[in-house]
Amino acid sequence: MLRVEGLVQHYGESNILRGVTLEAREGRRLCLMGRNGVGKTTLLQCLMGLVPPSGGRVLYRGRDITRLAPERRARLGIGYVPQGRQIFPLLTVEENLRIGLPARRDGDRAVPESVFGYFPVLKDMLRRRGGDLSGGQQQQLAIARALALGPELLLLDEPTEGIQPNIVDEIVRAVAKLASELGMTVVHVEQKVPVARRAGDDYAIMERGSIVDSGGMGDLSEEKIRSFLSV
Amino acid sequence: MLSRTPPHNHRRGRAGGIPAAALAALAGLLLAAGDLPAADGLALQDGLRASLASSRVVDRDAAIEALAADPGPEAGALMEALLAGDLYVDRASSDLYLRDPAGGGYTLAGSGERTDGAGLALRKVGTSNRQRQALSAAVHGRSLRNPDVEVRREAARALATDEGADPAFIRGLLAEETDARVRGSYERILASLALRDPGSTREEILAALATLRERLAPEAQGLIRERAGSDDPEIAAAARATLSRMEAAIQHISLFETVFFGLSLGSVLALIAIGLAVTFGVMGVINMAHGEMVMLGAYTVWWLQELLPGRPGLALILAVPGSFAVAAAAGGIIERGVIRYLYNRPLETLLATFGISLILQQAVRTFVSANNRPVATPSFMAGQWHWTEHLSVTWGRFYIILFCLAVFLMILLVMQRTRLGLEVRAVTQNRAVARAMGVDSGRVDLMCFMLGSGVAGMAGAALSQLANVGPNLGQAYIVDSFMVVVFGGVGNLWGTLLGGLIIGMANKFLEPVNGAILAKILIMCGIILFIQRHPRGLFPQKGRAAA
Amino acid sequence: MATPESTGPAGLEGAAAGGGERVFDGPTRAFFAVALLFSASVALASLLPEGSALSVGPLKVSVLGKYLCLATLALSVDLVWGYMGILSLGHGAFFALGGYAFGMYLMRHIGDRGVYVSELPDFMVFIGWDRLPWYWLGTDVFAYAVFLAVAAPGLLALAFGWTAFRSRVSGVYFSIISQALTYALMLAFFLNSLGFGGNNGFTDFKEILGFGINTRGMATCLFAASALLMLLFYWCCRVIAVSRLGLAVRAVRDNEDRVRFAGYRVERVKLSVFTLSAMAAGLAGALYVPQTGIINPNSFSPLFSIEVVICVALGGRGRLYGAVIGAFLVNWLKTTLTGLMPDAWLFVYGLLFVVVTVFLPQGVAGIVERMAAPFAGRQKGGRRGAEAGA
Repeated sequence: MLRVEGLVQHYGESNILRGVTLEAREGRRLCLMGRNGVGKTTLLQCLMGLVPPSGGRVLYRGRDITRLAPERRARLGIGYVPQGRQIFPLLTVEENLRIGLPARRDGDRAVPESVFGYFPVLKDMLRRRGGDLSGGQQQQLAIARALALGPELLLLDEPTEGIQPNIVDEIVRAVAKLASELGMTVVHVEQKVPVARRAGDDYAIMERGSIVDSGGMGDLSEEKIRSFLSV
Repeated sequence: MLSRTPPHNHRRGRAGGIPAAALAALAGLLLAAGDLPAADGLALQDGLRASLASSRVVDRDAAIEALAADPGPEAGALMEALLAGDLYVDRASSDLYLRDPAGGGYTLAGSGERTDGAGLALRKVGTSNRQRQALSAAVHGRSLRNPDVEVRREAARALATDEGADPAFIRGLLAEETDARVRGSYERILASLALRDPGSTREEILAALATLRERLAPEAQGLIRERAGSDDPEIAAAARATLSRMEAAIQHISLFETVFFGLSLGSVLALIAIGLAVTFGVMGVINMAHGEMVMLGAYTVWWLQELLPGRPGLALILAVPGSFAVAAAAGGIIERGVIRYLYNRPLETLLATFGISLILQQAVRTFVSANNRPVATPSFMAGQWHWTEHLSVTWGRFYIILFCLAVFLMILLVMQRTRLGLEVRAVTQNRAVARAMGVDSGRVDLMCFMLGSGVAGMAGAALSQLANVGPNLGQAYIVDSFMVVVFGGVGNLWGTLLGGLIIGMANKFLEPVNGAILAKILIMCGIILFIQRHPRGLFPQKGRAAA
Repeated sequence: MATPESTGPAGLEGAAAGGGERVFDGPTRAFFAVALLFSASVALASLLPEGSALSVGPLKVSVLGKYLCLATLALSVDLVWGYMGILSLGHGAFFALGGYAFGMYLMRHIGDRGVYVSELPDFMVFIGWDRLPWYWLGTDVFAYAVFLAVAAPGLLALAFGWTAFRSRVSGVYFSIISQALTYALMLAFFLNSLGFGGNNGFTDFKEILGFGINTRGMATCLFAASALLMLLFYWCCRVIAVSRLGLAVRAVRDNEDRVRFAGYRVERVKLSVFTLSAMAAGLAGALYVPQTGIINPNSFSPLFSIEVVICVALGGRGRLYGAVIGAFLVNWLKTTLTGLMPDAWLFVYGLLFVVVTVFLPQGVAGIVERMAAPFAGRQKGGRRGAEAGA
């Protein structure tokens, strides 16, 4: 579904991504892990096209989208949930959900009910302003907003950061359902190891701008965790 | 017979002076004429034609007298045309024609038949000053008895400035008059006349002063002031009291006028600024060519009036969508041609758009004219709407205020209810994420810029009715509109509206005190100081850092 | 507030990273050499007898002197914009204030040779004044006039900058407000009641320090003084650039908050540089006026101030010699074009603005640098320099 080949990215003079190569298999959830500052968010931004890479390729369903604009990628079926939620604070919940509708490939112009099925709490708050929601509700809104586009690939950047545990559970469960019921491919940046274990089928660990280890989630041993992820 | 009227001081007022004696005489005739059987229209016409067509002054005098005595509307129309220099006679048939000043065609008197005058040997029927005075008096006299109350009010107001009016005549009118406002005018005229008359008794003077305490009569201020210096303490006191009342009332009127003018100027400023606010809020672009969008809109009005001669009103109405289209198109070209390449570099955009503003100004100077272009005010904009005896607003300015508010509401609706508005708001709050949601931010930028420019164009169309239209029109208002945006809070529509109105009013309030230029300077300093305390303006926009 | 486009070109970054840079580095040495050579030759040529082939007439000398003054003005803008990232669209006001200050001296020294044969300047007689207003007192003293030409703009800059920087007004807001400032001043100086000649301004100057103004000698003197001022100020700017103050300034441009947290008084830094730049502009204005023979409120117009910015942009901002190049180029272009196509030159002029900002973000100096890059030893900047907007 998604292949990244040798992705290189610079910000000014600093080299953030140094040849990232990974693959997200269709219908599976890939957890991207690593310490702070290794480049996880930058990688996701490159995948979404918000930041231009300096080298390498990004292939989506075999198609080279390395230089494609973000709005085009959204229309191809890539959904994005940025770090820190970043919902539109002055738009209502409903407006947040509706913003992506024209990008849907099936031409549907209404927010699909299934979205509310995953996050029912949003249904009662349609008229509330996004900025008035709690952190957990905002996170759910951010994911729902991306789902409203009807994506096949979902990019989640630290969706559980700063969220209370019961909402974290809801999110993890919802994402699992997305993968199992809809066959959605998920790339999920996650810092918390216990959450990652529950939320991922595969893992990939980043260090200093490149992937140092990857495999099925079952292969993620304590030893690897200690060497790559602990401070 | 027409009496020789004494030499008259030229006064401000509608007709520029009405021969009082003639008025009295004619009034007497009119009052009497009401009892006479109505003359035969056709017979009057024949005799009139001959008299008016005659080259002898005496004949024309007689014709005018006859017309004055005729209460019918046709006679009134003939007199008005004669007074305005619009009465013509065909040398061949001696038929009378009334010229239409707006269209340039002619109407055959009596039948209403229209013609363009071809094939006719038309000669204007001339009038002497004396004849015009008499005509003026007659026309006004008719107005004072016109069944339409608005006409009577207007005529009564005009009468107030005439010092030579006859009190007896006016008392007669007063007895018959039913409308309160016209009665009020008569009462104040009578009071003024009483003050002026050296033969008035003490009681009459005190009564007059009392009346004038109730009714504002600015033209009588001098008279009242004289009485304030009177030896009689009661009269002096009454006069002083009347004066102070009057001064207070005049101040109120002046305040009202200032507020109104301020509102009309402010609403146009707000409209100009809205385009700036939108483009800066969404795109972070400061468009120095924005003033030229206003200018293009104003020129669109001129251009349409050139295309539709004789229909300035229609041209103005068509110019509303027209100016939007022209300015929006120009804006689109600028955005696609230049601004797009300067994304995220606000200071460079400022410079580049400044260059574009120079180019646009020079283009207009070269391809149209370096001089101002005349823009006509259509009749529906020109009249006055009298709220009370003394408070009046020009219809034009009133419409402009309504127009600006309407456009503002329309933009608000677009922002809140349309897809484009949703995308604009999303992009303003978080451009990157909006793009990740599939929003084509490039298209949003273009639409925004075109919308902002188009609105500026419409403001220009409104401005064409208030100011001179020339290549520098934009420059005169651009700094003001920046101030409005900065003051009101960038990207905030309500702030821009409020800011525009406040600045417009501040301008007008300071003007009489300090003159227009100092007013501008003071306001600018005020805003600079205001920005120190509130760097983000009246209503700072959340969710976006100013560049 | 660190955004890619706010960083300057490669040369500055290299300097900051290297530290301990010298005032007279490569480009500066080259510039001084060229400038001194140029000025000396023009000055000498102007002193040659009129008939000879190489002589330069006083008119030409004055024009070049004016260009030098405008170059100083451009330098002052570059100091504030290129180094501090603050775009002032009203710097012309400081220039004009200095010009008016010195203009007062020149008007006083017309004495009774004016139309009205009075000790008062003609325009005062014309509007019916019988005394000099208090703010004109002392302006017949040369030293005081020069002092005023520096102090008046300096004080204005101090006041304006203090209020603006203190409340963290920045970026585009500052630009708009600075434009409003100069616009307001223009309106004010158009008023006859202000006592500065109204819309006619000052003109018809006769002498400076007893020497006639329209002589060859005076033209050469003024030219030399302009050149001296420009070089002196250039040197000042370089000193600031390599000093700790300069590093602080550049750091402020790149990331104001970090500098603030590091303990530097950001406001003080900005204010001192801003005031210094205004004072230099004022002096430049003072030298400009006798070489032009006139000053009027149009010098306060926003157009003039924005022109100066374009000079800096065209030349390449952040490298002082760019400002000088730009000033000469733009003004030469203006003079030539107004002669060649008096009706259409504004088209070209406006187009210049657009072309420079869109296609030449690094200005002429950027082109020069790219061409000279293979010959220069250091190759700093790399991608950052290439990607940086102007």
